[in-house]
Amino acid sequence: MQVNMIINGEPKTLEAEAGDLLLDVLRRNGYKGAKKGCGHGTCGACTVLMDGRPILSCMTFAAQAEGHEIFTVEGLGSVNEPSEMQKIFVNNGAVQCGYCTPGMLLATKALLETNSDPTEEEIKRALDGNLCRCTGYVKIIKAIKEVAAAQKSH
Amino acid sequence: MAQSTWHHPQSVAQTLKLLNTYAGQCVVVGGATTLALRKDKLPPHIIDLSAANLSFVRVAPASTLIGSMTRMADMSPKALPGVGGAFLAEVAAHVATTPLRNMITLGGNVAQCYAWSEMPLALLAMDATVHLRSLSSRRRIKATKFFSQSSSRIIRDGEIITQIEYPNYEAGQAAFGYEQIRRTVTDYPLLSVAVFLTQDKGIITSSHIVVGSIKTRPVLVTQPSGMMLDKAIDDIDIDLLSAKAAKDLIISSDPRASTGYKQEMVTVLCRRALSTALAGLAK
Repeated sequence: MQVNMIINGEPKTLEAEAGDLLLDVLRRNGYKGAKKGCGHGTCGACTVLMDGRPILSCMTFAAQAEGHEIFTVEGLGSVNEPSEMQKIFVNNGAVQCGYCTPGMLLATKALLETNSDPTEEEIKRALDGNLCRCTGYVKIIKAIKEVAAAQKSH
Repeated sequence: MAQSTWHHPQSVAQTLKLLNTYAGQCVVVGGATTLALRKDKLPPHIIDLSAANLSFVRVAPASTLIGSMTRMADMSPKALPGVGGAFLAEVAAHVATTPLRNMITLGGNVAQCYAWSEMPLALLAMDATVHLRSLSSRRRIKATKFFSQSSSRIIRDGEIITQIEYPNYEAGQAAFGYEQIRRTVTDYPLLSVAVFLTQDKGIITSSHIVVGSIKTRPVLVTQPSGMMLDKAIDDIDIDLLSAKAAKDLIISSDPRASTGYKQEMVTVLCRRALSTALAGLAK
């Protein structure tokens, strides 16, 4: 079957079987920022945004993305041209092994689009579905506060 | 893996037709959180409810109807009116984690009714009504009946949950208390307690204490609930009722906590939830 969706602002038609997970289909098509971690909805490494909201692509069928807008970490920036959010994460040491980072960045993007000045508690709650097994939470939270401040100053 | 066919019905009527056509060979997908985990065991036909117009909130004079495809994240106090709405919003905010709340649906939480599903707890406490439809029938089942046995014995072949209905109560008419403990944010609840009370002129007219995560389905603690009926709000002995609730329960073992610990915590959470609910009525 073919699944039509908008990925990072571009209309795409991707081949998928009915039982294919969105995570697998995205990765097969080059969107490798979303990672397979736990595979059952606990770790958040597979996080992508669907219509602006974080969802877990390891627990979503690709067919469910039909007609929806999907945003992956590739939409934020690249190694050569990182977004301001990515630069701030790097500058704060909020990236260790990096496996959770795409999910953290996307959860941050979704949070700041609805709440431009989150409290620390609101940041923690927004990131409650994203685990960092390097336990680098302090620097991640610090980075998110800095991203919020930077976005406000623009 | 055998290939399945994906169906994307645009209405409830189309959905029911498909369920009838592919009886015994299909499964419905809502949030899909659990079905995706069983992707190797999919039946020949998958019926996706996401476009079937089942995500809505409709407010009638006496009650509110919430579509079964409504996501936990959309169950905010702004979206759901009255005391019952505030109660459901409070409980929905405690279901799973942020990305999962963007996926999990009310109907899925009710239909699956896992030990860790939180919405059944609130619906049982309010004695909400579950609406089901098939091609040939429409049924309304009170939560007390719906959650008295496995949902697979309640929901018939060819039938889906279409909406959940709860009565509209104004502030002061009704109040709730809800408590939950988890070991970590990503863990499912170790224990939950929901209390829902209604009153008329200072006298309790209905009372439900429900305990979750101790059995496969939430448990309505009947006797302590009944002990509040027709009593003045000020005469409720919270400590006595909380202790009685814990004593009356048979708590299954849980690798995460001992039975004794959970028993003790039922008392604590009941006390807190009852205090909150009674304070809400006294306002």
